[in-house]
This record gives sequence, C-alpha cells and structure tokens, in this order.
Amino acid sequence: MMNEDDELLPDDASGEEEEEDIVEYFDDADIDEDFFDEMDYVNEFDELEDEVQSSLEIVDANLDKFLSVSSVQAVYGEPIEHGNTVIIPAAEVLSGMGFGIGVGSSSSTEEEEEEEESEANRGGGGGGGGYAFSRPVAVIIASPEGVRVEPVVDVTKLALAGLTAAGMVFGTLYRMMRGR
Amino acid sequence: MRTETWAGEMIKAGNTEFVPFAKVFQFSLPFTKNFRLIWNRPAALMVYNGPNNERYVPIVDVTRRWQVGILLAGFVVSMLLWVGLRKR
Repeated sequence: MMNEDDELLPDDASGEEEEEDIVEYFDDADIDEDFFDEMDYVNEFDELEDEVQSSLEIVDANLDKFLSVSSVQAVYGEPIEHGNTVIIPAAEVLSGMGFGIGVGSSSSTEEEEEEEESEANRGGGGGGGGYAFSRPVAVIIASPEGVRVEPVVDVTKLALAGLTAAGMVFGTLYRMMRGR
Repeated sequence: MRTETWAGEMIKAGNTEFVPFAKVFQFSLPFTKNFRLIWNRPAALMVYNGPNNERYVPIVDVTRRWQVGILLAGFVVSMLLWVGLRKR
C-alpha cells in the first residue's frame, strides 16, 4: 500500500536526483556571490532570532515559577494549633517581574552597511528584574470564645512615614524662610 | 488587569467555623507578556457560630492606614504652611 508522500513524488524521481537537479540549477543560474552572502546573513539572523525565542520561553517559564511563590494561598499561613486555640497569620504578598530581550544590527550609514556582513555589527541582549515581598498584616485567633483579628503594626514603617512627613513640613518652612 | 476576591477553605476551631477571604490584584501590560505584577492581601473573615449566626470580620491593615494618614497629614500641613506664609 502506498502512503501519501509516495503519491506526491513522480515515479522516476528520487530524493538524490532532486537534490542534483537543484544543485545544477544554481550552478547554471547567473547568481552572483553577494546573493549567497546575503542569504547567509539572513540565515544567521534567523538563527539568532530562534535563540532569542527559546530564551524568551525559558524566561517566561521562570517568570511563572517566580510569581507562583506569591500565590493567593500564601496570604494565609498554616494554622497553628495550641490547645483549643487556632492561630493563623495573615500577610500581604506583592511581587512583580519584568524582562526584555532584543536583537539588531547597525546599518545607519553606508560605510556601516558595507561592514554589516561582519558579525561584530550584529547582536542581541536582554535583561530583567523582579521584586517580591511579604508583610504581616494581622493574626487571626480562633478560640472557643470566638474569632478575633489582632492587627500587626509595623513601627519601623510608621517611624519612616513620620520622618518623611516631618521632612516635608520642615522643607517647606525652610524654603519659605529662605525666600524672604 | 484583574481583581477578584478569593475564598479559602473553611477552618474549624471548637464550635466556630470561619472562611478567610483575600483580595487578588494582577496586572500585566496588554501588549507584552514581559511584565507582571501580583498583589494579594487579606480582606475579611466570614465567621459561622452555628445556624443563622454569621459574622463578617474585616481584616484592617493598620500599618498601611497610619502610613498613608501620616504622609497625607505631612503633605496637607506643608501645603497649608506654603499658602499661609506666602500671603504674608
């Protein structure tokens, strides 16, 4: 029984014969060497883009892993049982990540266009960064008497906010006094 | 951009049962997948103390409230000082 590929080929044509025909065609055709150089350049650029694409896929997979750390399940911690009391910590979780990758070549002037074939004028690069943090917000205490929420106050953050506010006020005062 | 309220599993402590809720905020740029931001925070508890006895307990971020309040107060006082001293 014949398969579909066999049906598409002529009866007397084999893969080797076809290849020979193609080589003969290019040998006979009046194509200058620049054409092949340009084709090499395009192929190299395509390879570079393929590499970038595969890098992007790797980064994207890592991005998913990184962001899964700050899933919504991380907001409430594991319940801690102590006698009849259950304690659950609650925290806010924030994470952000970004990255970028690019490829290109320099050909802004005619001289550079002539030099374009050299690999020194082509390249690619990328970079990225991320940030994740978690801050306790409250503690849930569940006992037979009932459930209550105890807030967690971050004194350091409040002190920094106070210093910033004082800086704003004294800065304004200083500017107004100096202006007189 | 996506915001939603997430409900956790019911937790039992003695005769009391409660369900924790969290607010979910997700942001990504519309034209690219290269940037993503996730912000999850506790929102409230729904406490069940037996049949027909439900209680909603909000979880307040006291630190955030004070922080915003202090910074706003500083800004307002600065503006008032600036306007008041300029008129003299």
